[in-house]
Amino acid sequence: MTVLEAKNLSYEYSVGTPFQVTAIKNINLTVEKGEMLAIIGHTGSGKSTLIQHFNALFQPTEGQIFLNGKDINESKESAHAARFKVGLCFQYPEYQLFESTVYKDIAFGPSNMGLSDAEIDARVRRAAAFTGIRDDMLEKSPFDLSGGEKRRVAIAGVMAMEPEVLIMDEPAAGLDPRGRKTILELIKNYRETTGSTVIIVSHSMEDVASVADRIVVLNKGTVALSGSVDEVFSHADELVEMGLNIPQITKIFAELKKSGYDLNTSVYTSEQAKNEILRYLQKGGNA
Amino acid sequence: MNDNTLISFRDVSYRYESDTDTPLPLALKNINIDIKKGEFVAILGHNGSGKSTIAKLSNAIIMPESGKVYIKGMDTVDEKLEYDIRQTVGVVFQNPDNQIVATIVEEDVAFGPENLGIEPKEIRKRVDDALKSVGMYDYRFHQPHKLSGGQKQRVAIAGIMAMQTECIVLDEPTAMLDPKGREEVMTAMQRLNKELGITVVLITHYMDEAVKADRVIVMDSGEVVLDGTPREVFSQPDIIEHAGLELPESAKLANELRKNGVELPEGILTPEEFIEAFKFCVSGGNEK
Ligand SMILES: Nc1ncnc2c1ncn2[C@@H]1O[C@H](COP(=O)(O)OP(=O)(O)O)[C@@H](O)[C@H]1O
Ligand SMILES: Nc1ncnc2c1ncn2[C@@H]1O[C@H](COP(=O)(O)OP(=O)(O)O)[C@@H](O)[C@H]1O
Ligand SMILES: [Mg+2]
Ligand SMILES: [Mg+2]
Repeated sequence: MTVLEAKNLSYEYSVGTPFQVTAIKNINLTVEKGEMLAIIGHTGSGKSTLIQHFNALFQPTEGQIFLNGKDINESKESAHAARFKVGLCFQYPEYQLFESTVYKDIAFGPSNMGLSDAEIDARVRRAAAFTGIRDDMLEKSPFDLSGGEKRRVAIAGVMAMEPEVLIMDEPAAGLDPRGRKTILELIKNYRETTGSTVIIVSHSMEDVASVADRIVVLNKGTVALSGSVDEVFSHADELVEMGLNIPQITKIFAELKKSGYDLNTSVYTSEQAKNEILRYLQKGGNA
Repeated sequence: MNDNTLISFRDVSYRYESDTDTPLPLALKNINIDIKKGEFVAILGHNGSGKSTIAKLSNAIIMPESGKVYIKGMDTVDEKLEYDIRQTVGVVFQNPDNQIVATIVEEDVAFGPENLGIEPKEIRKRVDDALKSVGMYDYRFHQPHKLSGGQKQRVAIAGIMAMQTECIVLDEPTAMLDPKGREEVMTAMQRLNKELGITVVLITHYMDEAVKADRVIVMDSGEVVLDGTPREVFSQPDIIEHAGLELPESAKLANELRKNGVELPEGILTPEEFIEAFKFCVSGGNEK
């Protein structure tokens, strides 16, 4: 079932000035209920512009956005409702924390939704649990937390709105390897537990490969490729042409395959790679 | 410390000012680092391990609580030397938004050299060269605040390149970049280092970038826990893991296979090395 749909969507910045830019052009895409969709593309390809249409922060220059079959820009009310049904977590969201305590920061989104205090409290605690924020951290100032912790507080704030669709713009950017892993795990866990639809914007191919069901590739403001992880990563040369790449591990396998080793090249993590090589050696690839 | 030493940290500790009565813990604990002229050094470490603090100390933005930082023998606490120090070590900080000063890209890049009092003709040339090296020459008349994060970062790098300091310290310059942008920045840095002999200190979270350095320093909670060639450093998986980092993908795979009895040599770091070792391992079986 389709949750979100972009139809012939275009957006231009600074219309009528010498700096007019077409950021996205005639985009058509659908997002299915419950899926984990990755949107990838070079910097400036239009990813951030596109996703800000999904919760009506931006109004299309042309085209429409449908949420559960209804045009979200049909009325003021529907646009307002989209802010909560589609939760958007911006890039480097920790710079937008501003409340005096972690609790208040997480509660900020839900308290604008007309919920009871008890419901807000329950949501804050659920979101904190998902993101690994301990109870004793809730009364701290967000400014006393580490970078990775602040990031999790900001993510919890969006999760606490319990949106139907959760969109995250580069959620792991700038984190150390352990921090990246933690964030990706918690997003996976959130999706599995709540069954929510999740869209993740990233240009780390390793991250995308480890979490996504499906990938949409933007190039210069248009959809260049879309399909399963396997399908999209099988277009390695085109991805490189578009300023992207395939995971390092996948490149190794593609290279070995070219040299005549009968390996499955749909391998994206070192864990998968290990298993595939062991399989190859056992079935007599000899070593 | 010998004549070749460009940056020298001697028993340096640093503590940030607290807003309350309780002092903050030390951000750097008694660290010693010597960086020689012409080296390409990568600094790795978890978020909060002290990397940016090292960058700020290298260019006299902050001073040690105890210990000394010398830049070519110049003590950074000596205010008279501030200008000479900044002309020797240039720093590209983490968030490029805070570094943009002008409304046109090329003016922004010219800002540093103008402050050094360099003549206009020479500035023109340096600005053009720097913008070309980072692949931003076509954007020279654009407004910096309307560029993408990666593009802003490259403009900030061009600004430091145009100052032609002997050493450039880059604080996570590739964090916001796409794979091509990362490669462009890495290539620009390697060229600066190999062709112009500029000393490069690269702070990064990407292990595949660290593998390309001459030397890797690993920080953990304000301390230097490893310092050596990439091969030396990445042969310590336990310390790397404890520091919140991970091995480069090829090294991780080789290690895992070795644990499962596949006979691969130690010290594999790059895809090329893995491929070669794998082929050798498989053909070795055939010859038996
Ligand atoms: N505020 C803005 N004003 C003018 N142009 C912009 C603005 N924000 C983005 N752009 C331009 O729109 C295009 C798409 O940008 P963006 O959606 O941010 O891409 P991405 O998120 O994929 O990096 C780029 O060419 C960018 O320079
Ligand atoms: N302006 C500041 N005020 C107080 N503490 C700070 C400040 N900047 C950094 N710190 C603290 O100092 C330690 C080292 O920070 P930093 O050098 O920025 O680490 P890294 O760059 O490795 O992420 C961290 O514990 C961090 O929270
Ligand atoms: Mg973006
Ligand atoms: Mg830092």
